[in-house]
Amino acid sequence: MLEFQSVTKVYRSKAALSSVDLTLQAGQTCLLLGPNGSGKTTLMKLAAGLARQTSGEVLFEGRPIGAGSKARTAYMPTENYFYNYMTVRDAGRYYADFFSDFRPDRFRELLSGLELDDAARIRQLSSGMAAKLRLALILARDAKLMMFDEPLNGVDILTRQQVVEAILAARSPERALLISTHLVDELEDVVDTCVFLRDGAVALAGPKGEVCGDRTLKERYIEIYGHAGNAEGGEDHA
Amino acid sequence: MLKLMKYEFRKTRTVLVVLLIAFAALQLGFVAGIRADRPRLYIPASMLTAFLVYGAYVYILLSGIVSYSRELRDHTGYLVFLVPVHPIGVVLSKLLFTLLAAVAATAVFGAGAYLDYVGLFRRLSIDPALLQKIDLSMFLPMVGESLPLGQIAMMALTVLATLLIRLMTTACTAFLAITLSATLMQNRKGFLRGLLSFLFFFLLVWGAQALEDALLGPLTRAASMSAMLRRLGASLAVNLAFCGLFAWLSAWLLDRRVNL
Repeated sequence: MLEFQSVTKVYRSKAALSSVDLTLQAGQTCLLLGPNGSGKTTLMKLAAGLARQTSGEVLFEGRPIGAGSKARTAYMPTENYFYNYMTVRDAGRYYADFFSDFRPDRFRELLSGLELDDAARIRQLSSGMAAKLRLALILARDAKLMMFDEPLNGVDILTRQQVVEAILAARSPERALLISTHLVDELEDVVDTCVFLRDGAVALAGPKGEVCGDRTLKERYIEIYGHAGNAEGGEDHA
Repeated sequence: MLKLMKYEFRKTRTVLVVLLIAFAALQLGFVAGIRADRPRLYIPASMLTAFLVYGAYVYILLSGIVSYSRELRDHTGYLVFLVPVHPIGVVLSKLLFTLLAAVAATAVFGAGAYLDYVGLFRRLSIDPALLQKIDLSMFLPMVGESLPLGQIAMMALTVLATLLIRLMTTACTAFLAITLSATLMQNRKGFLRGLLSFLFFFLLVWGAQALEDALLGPLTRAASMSAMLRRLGASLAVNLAFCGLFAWLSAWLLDRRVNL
């Protein structure tokens, strides 16, 4: 479904991504892991069409990223990206206007479940509430590929479980989920594939069972990033 | 594209409403001044209305350009670039909305200013037909003494069309300059990028004007009314071509090098 072929992205002479090869299939729930600056957000932005790679190919269903892929891809950024005048309801209308797979009734259900007031102005929402709105907008779509960049950022402990459950409910055999997070504990049971990024390159990738063995994701994360040079793999890409 | 224009309008709605309120207040002041025979009210009101015509035109044009620049710099750009619309649709929606809003505001406020001046002339017992008696050759020495009405109307229409197209060309040039600095110079810092946008803008304006003059010859060399009309018509076509080229180049750059 989503394919990165030798993708490199350079910012100010620094490679944010370096020769990344990655394949994501329908039905997979993939966790993108790595410390700050390892290239997780850049990778998602390339797949969402918000940035272009310096070299290599990013393909969605065999075609380059463009208007066609955007219609079938949903991306939840970490930042608030709404216009100042917008209320929660306006954001829903905006998505309904542009995405034919947006389900307004599901959006309303999600708002109610996440305790969001649809008349609230987005700029006045707390970071946690704004994250819930971004999540609701993505989950209200029937997109083939859903990407969540730090979906648990700014979300309180009590709400995290709600968010994780909402993401879990979005899993389907026809859909791929790509999630980046530092909070690996919460998503331990959700994922089936892991990609560890380091300095813009894939350090280790594969099915969770193979990558982690009998260790938890957190233990594996600490092994890879806590002890530089001890990380296994490098060619073991998904 | 039309949906994006709808959201451009929604974003700009508050500014447009403020301009309309200012216009309505000035018109109320003018009417009240005329009724109460208070020149200290109706003369400033009519003058400010005339300023508003030009001010609104410049403001809307600038705000359209600034809005485009922000979309390429701020996170609100995600709203535009995450949706399944080709970059040419993004560029055209912003350009057309800016043009339509500027033209509509100029037309409405201009009509108000014109009515004010008719009222003002009546109040001051000046014959409005006096304006029509002014010898046009005073302003256009190259057109000769006899001016058939049809040619004057054609001249006025051509000048108006050229002004509109030039407005569009200015916006297209600014869009291309901003796109160039946001894509080719995406690794530069914010201030430098802004500076480069200005630099690109002036280079493009200079280049386009030099090319137009090289292709058509300077406007001042037109020896007769019909020669001037032909020159203005050709200028209109060249400017339209620049608009199309600059809009397409902006979209092409965004498609290849977008970086939000």
